[in-house]
Amino acid sequence: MGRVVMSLLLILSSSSPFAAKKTPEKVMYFSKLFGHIHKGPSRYSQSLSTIGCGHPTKVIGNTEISSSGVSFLKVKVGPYIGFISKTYLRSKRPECFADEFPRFFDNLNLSLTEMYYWGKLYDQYITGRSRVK
Amino acid sequence: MRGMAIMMLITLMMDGVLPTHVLGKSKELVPVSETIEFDKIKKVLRKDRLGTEVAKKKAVRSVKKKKRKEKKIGRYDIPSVESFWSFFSEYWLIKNATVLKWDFKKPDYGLESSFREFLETMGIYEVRFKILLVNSPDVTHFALPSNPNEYIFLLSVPFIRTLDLSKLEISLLLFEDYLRIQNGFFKDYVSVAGMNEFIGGNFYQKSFNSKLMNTVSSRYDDLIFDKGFSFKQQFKVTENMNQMLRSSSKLWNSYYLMIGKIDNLVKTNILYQKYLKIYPSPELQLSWLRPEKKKVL
Repeated sequence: MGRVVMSLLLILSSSSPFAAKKTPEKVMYFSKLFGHIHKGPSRYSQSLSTIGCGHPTKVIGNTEISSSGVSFLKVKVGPYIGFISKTYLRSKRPECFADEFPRFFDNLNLSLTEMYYWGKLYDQYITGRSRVK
Repeated sequence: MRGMAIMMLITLMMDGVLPTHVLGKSKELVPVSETIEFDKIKKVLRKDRLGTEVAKKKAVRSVKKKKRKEKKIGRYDIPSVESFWSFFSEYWLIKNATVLKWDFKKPDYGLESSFREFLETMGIYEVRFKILLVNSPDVTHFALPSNPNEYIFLLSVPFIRTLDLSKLEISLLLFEDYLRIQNGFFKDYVSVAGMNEFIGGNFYQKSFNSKLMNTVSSRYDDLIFDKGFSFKQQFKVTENMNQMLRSSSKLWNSYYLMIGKIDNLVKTNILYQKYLKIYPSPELQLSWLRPEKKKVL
């Protein structure tokens, strides 16, 4: 009897309008060769982990946080919850350089430090594009 | 009823109505282990289109095999000229990260909008650019080889701070580097023998030419840190700048004044004496830019 009451209470609490809404999670893929999951929404923020192109990330919520003109999304990648620049994420798995030229890429024998720096490089770039007015 | 049937069968046998194989005499006529002669049934098979089915299946199998092999070989592809140069320049930047000191926190100088607007003023559209600020006086400003319609610039923060360059002056400096790339000075210098065959090639069942990659990387080092550009190349770039900026006195004057600032810096600041070796020379550039004095009779 007690179990039935408990389960009923659980069902009621989950369907209650006052219950905390579960934030929607959307899977997006990292599009640069390497990149970082930052602790905070800034390109200078501490790196929690380095990820490679095509890595799936779970975008938590829909909130975009802007910092120095760059929009960041809150993501969950494996055990880490951090921030990635919105411009680096795609809704479909991108075509990655390392997948396109796998043997060439393997032969470069990049070390972990080099992968880390490659991710940092994209954070450090000031990028732009001239357009027809 | 059963007796009736037996009777009828006996009568029929006596009359010879039933065929012999029903009576068990067929054993002598049709052997049990008959070998199939395909020549005899060819027509039947052809009629059934079994031959064409087999041919179709063979063709599909061979296409699949060919595709599998192509895919296997394709894994050994080397990037084509469309994607090689940006990748390699970034690879060089990674290898030299500690020397160039580009991984540092800096303020937003607003260079994206200023350089984009400058390019648009010059009528240069649909060009992607990446500017990497370095925290070292060793590399003052440089454009690295990149993919078509893409430019990678290096710009020294100590250099622009020492000269106190305005956004326009920085754009002019970057534009000078843009013209150097347009003229192909960098690619010409680093493209060693075998480079054209290497880019866009394939090394399936061959050893990877890492020696060539190292040679190109050391040519990058050589040009950026040591050798720089020739007088002839500098003259060409200065001439190009002169032609392109002549229509706007504001831009031309800014460029002339900026070269003057650099000339003064390299003559007075020991940190930037190497600049003359890389970009010879601001003093000459000023003389090339200075309008000729007309002789008055």
